[in-house]
Amino acid sequence: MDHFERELARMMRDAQEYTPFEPAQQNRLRTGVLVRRRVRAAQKAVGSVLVAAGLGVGLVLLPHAPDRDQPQAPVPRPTTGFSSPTTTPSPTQPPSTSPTGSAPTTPTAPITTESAPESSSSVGTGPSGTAPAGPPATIPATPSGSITPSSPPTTTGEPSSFVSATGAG
Amino acid sequence: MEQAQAESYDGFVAARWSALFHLARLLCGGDRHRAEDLLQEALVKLWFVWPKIADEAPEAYVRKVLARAAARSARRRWWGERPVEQLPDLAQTGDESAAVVERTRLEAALAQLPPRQRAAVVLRYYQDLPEKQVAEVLGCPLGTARSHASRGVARLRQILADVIEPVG
Repeated sequence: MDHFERELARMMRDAQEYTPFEPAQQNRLRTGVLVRRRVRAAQKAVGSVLVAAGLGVGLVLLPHAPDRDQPQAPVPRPTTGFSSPTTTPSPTQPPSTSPTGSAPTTPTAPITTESAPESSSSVGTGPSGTAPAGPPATIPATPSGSITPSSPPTTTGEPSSFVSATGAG
Repeated sequence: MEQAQAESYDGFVAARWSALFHLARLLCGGDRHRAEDLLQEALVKLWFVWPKIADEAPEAYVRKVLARAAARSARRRWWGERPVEQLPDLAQTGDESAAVVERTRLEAALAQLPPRQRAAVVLRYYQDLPEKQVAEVLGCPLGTARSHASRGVARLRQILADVIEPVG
């Protein structure tokens, strides 16, 4: 703090003069407090009214709940595992049997699904009535991916007819 | 409860009115009427927070309200002034003592500063607050408060060059 700053501070302090707190100022202060209190009360009331009005309008404008707002039914589980015999006769199942049909030619190949289209076409064109008999016996054992090793023994008797069918088709 | 609050509040205001009024007057550049309005406004605000800060630092609260209101006062376009038929009492210049002359010059010099610079100078040199506290009271960064104070003092140095002569 240099000389000027010290002098500035001194001047500011010396300039102070005693000013009593007069009754007129006290009354004015009281009036100011009362006015401000009323203003605050009015603001609070207006705010409450606005909030209530907003809530009311919001409730009115809300769409009425339709019936489909009910809880959803449980999502069906993926059908990767056990399947009932009634669904197995579908054209998707015969592929598991058809590998067995082609099993005699490639014993390890039937594991892959790539051979399915060939056999499915053969099944579709061939004896569709005989196809349901094969799958129910093979599918309940294990999932489709892993049943092929176990299926050949059960379906070894039928491939001959299938092969002959595809051969005919 | 209300009565006790009112009594303690009145006691504080009566005891500190003179000092607070002088602070408000410096912050307003010597305008008595504006200073009184400003102080009234700050004290009304104080009333509503009195139960919370009565035992802490009510004067610091008033100081903050005063300084911030004075610093942003320049942004207001209308001061609530109304034309009157008779002018209020003006300062008489015939019988001024040296102290009054000095005060008048100081207030005239302060009135030439921008409000924020004036508030920073008054808080720094009259209230003797450190720069950090000046920034806190004004609600601005430390560098800004420092800049306001230094620019204000530089301007006052020019204005009051003939009153406060440099030493050495």
